[in-house]
Amino acid sequence: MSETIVLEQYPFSARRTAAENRETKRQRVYIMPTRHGAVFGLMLFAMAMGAINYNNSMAYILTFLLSSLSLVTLLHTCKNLAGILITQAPASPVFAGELAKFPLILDNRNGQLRLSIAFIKTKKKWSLLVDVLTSTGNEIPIASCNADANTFNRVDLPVKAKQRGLLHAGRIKVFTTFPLGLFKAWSYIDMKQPCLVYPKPAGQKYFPPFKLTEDIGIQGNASGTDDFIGFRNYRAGDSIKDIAWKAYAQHKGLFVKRFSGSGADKLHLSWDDVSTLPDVETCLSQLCLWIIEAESQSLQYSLELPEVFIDTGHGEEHQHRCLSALAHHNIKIINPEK
Amino acid sequence: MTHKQTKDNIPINSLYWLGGGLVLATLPHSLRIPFWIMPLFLALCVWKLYLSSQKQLKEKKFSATNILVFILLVVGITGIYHHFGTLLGRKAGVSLLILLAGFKIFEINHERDFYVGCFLGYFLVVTNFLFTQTIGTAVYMACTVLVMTLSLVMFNDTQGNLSAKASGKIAATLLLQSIPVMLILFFLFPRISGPLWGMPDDAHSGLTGIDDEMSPGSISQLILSNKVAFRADFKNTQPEQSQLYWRGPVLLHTDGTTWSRTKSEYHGATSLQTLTDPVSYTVTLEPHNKEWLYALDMPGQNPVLESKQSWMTSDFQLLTRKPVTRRIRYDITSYPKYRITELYDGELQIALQLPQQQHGKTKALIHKWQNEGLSKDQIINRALRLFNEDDFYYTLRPPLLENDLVDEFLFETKQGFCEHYASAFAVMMRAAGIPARIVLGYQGGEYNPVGDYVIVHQRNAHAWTEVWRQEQGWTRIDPTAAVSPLRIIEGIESALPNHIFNVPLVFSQNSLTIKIWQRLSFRWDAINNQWNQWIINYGPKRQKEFLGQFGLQDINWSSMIFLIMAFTAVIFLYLTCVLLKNVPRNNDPVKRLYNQFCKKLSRCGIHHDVYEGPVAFASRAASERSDLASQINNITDIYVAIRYGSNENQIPAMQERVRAFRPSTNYHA
Repeated sequence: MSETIVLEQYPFSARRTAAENRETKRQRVYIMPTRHGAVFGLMLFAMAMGAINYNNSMAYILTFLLSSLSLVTLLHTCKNLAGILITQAPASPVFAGELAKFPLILDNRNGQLRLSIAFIKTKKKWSLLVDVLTSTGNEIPIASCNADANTFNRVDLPVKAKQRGLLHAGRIKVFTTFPLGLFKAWSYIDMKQPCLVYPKPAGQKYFPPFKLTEDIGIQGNASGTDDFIGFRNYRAGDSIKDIAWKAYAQHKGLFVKRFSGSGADKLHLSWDDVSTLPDVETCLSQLCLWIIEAESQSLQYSLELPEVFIDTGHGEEHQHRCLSALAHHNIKIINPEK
Repeated sequence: MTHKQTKDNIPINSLYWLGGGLVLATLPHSLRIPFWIMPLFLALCVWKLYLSSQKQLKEKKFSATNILVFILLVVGITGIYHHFGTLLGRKAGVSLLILLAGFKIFEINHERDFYVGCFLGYFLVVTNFLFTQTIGTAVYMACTVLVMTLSLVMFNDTQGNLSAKASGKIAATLLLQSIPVMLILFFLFPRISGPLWGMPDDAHSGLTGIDDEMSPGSISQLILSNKVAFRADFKNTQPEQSQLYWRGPVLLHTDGTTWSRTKSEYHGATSLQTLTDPVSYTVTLEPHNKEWLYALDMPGQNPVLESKQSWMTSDFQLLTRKPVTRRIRYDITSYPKYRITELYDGELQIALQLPQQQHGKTKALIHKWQNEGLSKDQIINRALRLFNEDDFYYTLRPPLLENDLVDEFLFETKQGFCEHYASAFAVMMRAAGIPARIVLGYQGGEYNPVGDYVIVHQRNAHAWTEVWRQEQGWTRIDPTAAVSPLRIIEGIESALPNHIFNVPLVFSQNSLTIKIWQRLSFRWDAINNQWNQWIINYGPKRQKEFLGQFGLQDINWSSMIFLIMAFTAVIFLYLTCVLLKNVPRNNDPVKRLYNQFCKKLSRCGIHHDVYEGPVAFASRAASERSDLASQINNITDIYVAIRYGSNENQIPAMQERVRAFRPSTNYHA
């Protein structure tokens, strides 16, 4: 269950607003000057010195106007973030080595456009102290977006999925420096839902030999007899009677006709087929590649791992079950904190 | 620390606006700095914008462009040093700043550079105020600050979907919301007098005013200036125009051509015999870079100044230790009718000095008068009659005098301005053995009915004489009055053509339009005067006066800081409330009406659940309260018709029904 986080707004945090319901969690909004804000402060000091030295009223006025501007900007920067409701949506699985995208739904229901909201991954430990001390540092956001008034806005946070398994985005810092870049207001979102990372598809091995199906009792040259469903490239061991001789006669290459039905190709992918490979991850990668190929060739396939067996089938759902079984194989939770 | 990601990631739109802001901030400087800086600055801006619009720009550390720009920078700085002989000082500093701003724009590649460029722009705005602080400048600079802030807003809109107008609106909102705290800081921030450290030497060049010597042409130069010399605000009654002799420096020494002050001869103030009631007034003196003040003949005492020492000399000049380089304000009292009979040793001898070899013809004329047996007083009258009855003219453009100025003027050209008459008269007096001196200052002034004060312009500059008479003591004699009485009675304005007053052509057609123009310019001057009094001239003294109005005469620094913090906190809290309050906006009138309806029902114990549609709720409510069923169904039908059938014209009907819906709370089924 994903929770909704409300970025708190001072000084009205004590009262629950209508927008909140029971599943919300409050999260404080912090604010500190950026380094540009610090430079701005230095410039104001220099201006004030000049104004005092020359006793120049207009210089005083401009100095005071800009000082006051920075106060007002502080409020506006805070306002740009406070009061927003953030919910994490489920992330679609990715293959290792790809970018995982963690979607967030920004529910901006109090009538004002919020601009340039940025997101960055952060460490959970000491994050507040570190962020306060390094507020003047430059941060490159992993994603940023605007939140239109009175709508839901979706933003995808890209995180590199290095290993298969469950990828946790961990703690995300949401921040903004709008409108003037003099202050940075920020808050934290603890991402509760991990993203499933399939193994990286890789390997050189051919499909294992087709399984002897019980119904027909011949070696799985693996075709049914009912309806013609297409061609595929000839592989050693295919039945001669299935070869598309007409195409061969036209010098198009050697193809095998395929038919649907219970006697169709049934590919049994098992741990034993890859156990010769040097390590577990390579095995999983090879199995992953096979599953993808089998799916793309519309083959029926089953998967057998030491602790899991997934029966023959095909289709997106089946592929997902197989791939997630691979992803979960001897799982270590991949947490960026550790 | 470099960040590859931000490199060349400066949104081109915000760069345009930043460039625009910087150009706006530097433009007023273009006449104050060496002529080549502005074109160089503009060239750098345009070049940068051109380069930025070319997308595929490969950045190299030491490209030919970078080297060229570096050389340009070095040459530029050398050029400024060569031109001013220094890199400090007001103008040299500004030139340097503009040059650096130009190069900063050129090398904007990182986020940081953009901010530095923008802050430089804000700083350049301040430098403009060192030269001028008029209302016009303030408005112009406000626009510049708006443009700079706009560019910052645009730069921070990383998604880049704000239009210039929308960014401008945000920037304007921010600036407008900053004004209250700014005003508090402005009026309450403790002001100190005097500079913290030295000012650059050239800080006050280019101020106009009366000089401390007089030669033909020196005053008629000033006459053409429309600038304000000072403003005087009379406490009670204002003396007549012909009595408005504003006394400045007193000239005692002549070399035949030029009259000058003798600085060494200052003695303490002599006493003044007053014959009338005093006239009290406040003078707001524009900076004129000279070490004297102006007061009506004759000042009773030296005024108290907030930052300077002042004193009065025996010939009633009001002097300060340092030149007046900023607008000052002082209260002073004068006595229009007076008698000065007290002398210091040798005062009369000095007032008889004449160059030996010059003014032969004049001396001969005086000799002739003396031989006729005229007394000293008669000689004074005779000389004035000469100006009045002979063919003398009062003119702004007298013929050029080449040799003996006085002789030529008296016997040949007979056309001159006040300095000619004053110097000729003083020479005649001295030749007759009557001690005489020349007083420089202003005569007359324009009454501003809008602000109820007198404006004295540079064109009111005047020179007159004082002679020593046995009984009366030092007596003011204005020989110009003998030639052109109008000049004194009605003021210089009547003696000068309209174009001197900058009356635009459109207004100078007839006397009515000229009057309208005058009215407008009085209004404008009154506004300017308020601006000067309250904004530009707001210093320690003014602050004390201002706070005194609220009973805070003796407020000290720490209390002022406390007040600032208290007021700022109040405004800040108010703004926080306005900005951060989460008002659930329910601008939908139909929904509001329906909510009212639900609220009335909930008082009877029938609560509307969030997941419940209106029809389902109505049927449930109707079954629970059969007595209200028809009303509930009616309102729900209208609501559904409006909501899902777009029948907006039924809103009044719904409003009526909801208002009339008064369910009784005690119902037992």
